[in-house]
Amino acid sequence: MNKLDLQDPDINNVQIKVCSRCIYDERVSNISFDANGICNYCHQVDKLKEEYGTGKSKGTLQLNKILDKIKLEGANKKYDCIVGVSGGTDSSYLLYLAKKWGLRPLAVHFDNTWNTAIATMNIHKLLNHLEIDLYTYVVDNKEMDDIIRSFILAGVAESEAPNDLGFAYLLRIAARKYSIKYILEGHSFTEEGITPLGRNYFDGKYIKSIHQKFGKRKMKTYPLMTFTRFLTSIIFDQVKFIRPLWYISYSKKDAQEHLNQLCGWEYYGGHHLENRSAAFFHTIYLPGKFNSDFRNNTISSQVRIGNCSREDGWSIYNTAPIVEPDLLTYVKKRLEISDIEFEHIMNKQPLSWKDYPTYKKRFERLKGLFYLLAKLNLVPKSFYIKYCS
Amino acid sequence: MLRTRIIPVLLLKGESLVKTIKFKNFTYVGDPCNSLRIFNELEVDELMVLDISASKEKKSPNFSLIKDMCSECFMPLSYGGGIRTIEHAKKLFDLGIEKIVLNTYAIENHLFISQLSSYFGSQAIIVSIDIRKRRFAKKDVFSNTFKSYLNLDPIDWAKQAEELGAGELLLTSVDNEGTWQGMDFDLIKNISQNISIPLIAHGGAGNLDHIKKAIHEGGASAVGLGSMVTFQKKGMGVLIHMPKLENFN
Ligand SMILES: [Zn+2]
Repeated sequence: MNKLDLQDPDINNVQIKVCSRCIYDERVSNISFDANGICNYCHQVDKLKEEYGTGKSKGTLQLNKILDKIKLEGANKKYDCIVGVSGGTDSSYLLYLAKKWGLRPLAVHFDNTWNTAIATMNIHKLLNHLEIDLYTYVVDNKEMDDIIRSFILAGVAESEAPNDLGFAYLLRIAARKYSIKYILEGHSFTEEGITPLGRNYFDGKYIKSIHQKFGKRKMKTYPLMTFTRFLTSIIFDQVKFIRPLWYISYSKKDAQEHLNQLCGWEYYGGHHLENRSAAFFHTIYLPGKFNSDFRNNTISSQVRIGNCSREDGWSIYNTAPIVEPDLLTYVKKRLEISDIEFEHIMNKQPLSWKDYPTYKKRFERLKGLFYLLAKLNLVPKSFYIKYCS
Repeated sequence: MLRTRIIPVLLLKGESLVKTIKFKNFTYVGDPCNSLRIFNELEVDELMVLDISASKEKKSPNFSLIKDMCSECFMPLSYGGGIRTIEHAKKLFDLGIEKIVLNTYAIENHLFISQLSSYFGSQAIIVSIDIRKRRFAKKDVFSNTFKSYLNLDPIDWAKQAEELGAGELLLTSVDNEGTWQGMDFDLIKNISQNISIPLIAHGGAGNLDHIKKAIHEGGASAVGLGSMVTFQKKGMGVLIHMPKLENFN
């Protein structure tokens, strides 16, 4: 079943071109190499570091300005910012930082009903210790399962789109409900890298059309971000998205140790593994069906910042991911997919987002509008680049 | 002193877990099996799952779901909802359910309690009594299935249930349920003084003091918790957890 096209784990024996600084290889979409064999993604990280002053006084200064603005604008409100939480390292640490910086964050959690106990306990320990309120939205579990299942049946790689977009829209819903103007995101380009452009794509129409085609239930409780809802939120709520970890030096490892000492927070053993559906997609479904392994994102970053040698990184990347023993059985049972059906799904020709209806054309037509919105910081620049071109 | 028994009481509606306020306004809590898995990792001694839609929709217990729940659950699990025959009960015990909880059908057919009790032993039979205040402050047994009062005195019905063979009583105050504002301590006391079987007090617990009071002053032998194990705190988001019981006993 495992179709993952693993290369020789010894980087010196490899036949394909691998970046001389990280472990991205020629199969990564839109990759190019300079004269020294360094890839464009390494250069992109350098550029971002320069631009944001990451870990330097320039970065701290920029961030402090933003923090002051958040405090000022939220002065009369119960909460001045939102931090989305999953129980994972980055968002947990960001909550700790937000409190330390004197912000009054509201934690927001999108519960797709596939949480691990460790994630749930982490959220509880942390919020209790930091005295932070939580806003949770729980989707009807049967409906969520139906949506997840329909993405598996659709044969596309954006299997986590329903979760990611639901979460993204929930942040906007919570911002409106509590009239909060800032959403802090726990992303770190130094620790996780930037997802290569053109690798995947999703939007509200994509989710709706796939669910209509392959689902069996009505969509009733899932927070679907349609085009209208998206635009309404941008224009009326005017929420700004801030990524504080882009400005400061940040180490996942140190963060984990710190959180553990702070409140007994525990590491769950890997990126995305705090949620069982995410764990399934990252350790079983994507490597098995799409011959693609999103671990190279994180591993490359770890190599770039020197937490791991190129040799070791390549070797880890080319060793099949560790799979929780009963995870596949659990997923098949819960999604009511038989062994034969699952085998069939995994062997079927993969399809792409281009095979299903999306808003992509509409975003492209409205390029001018989104250019303006990006200028005003109402949509991230990365959104403009990814969705409008 | 015996360890205080704290029992998370989880409500099943269809195939989803929900939480109600005064038996209304339900919110989604999660997937039953996934939630039981999470409770497994927490220090929970026993659990209770009540299917609140089975009787209303005249359905039998959802055995395939219960089977899955039993396989996720390592601690003793009680189940109630839609049990109307000896066969239902037998099947539930076969699946691994430790105790069964009777409500609607026990009211319709008192002898059913005795039948089950003589078949399976009274220790496996919990009778669940829902109490709601009527106008002019008289408390009455309430049937959620039929949305009506039963003109039954709570104490009389509790005593009767014991005589019929119930091994334990689950007492839920509908007016307090989901409010976090404290339990109906008078009611708990009144009932516990009139029966000799263990009483699980349920409905309204919002902090550790409430739990203590139900046990020490009310004479309950266990407390059933809904909101306190389901939400971060009052008015806040869903987050399954167990309250810390240190310095408690
Ligand atoms: Zn590179």
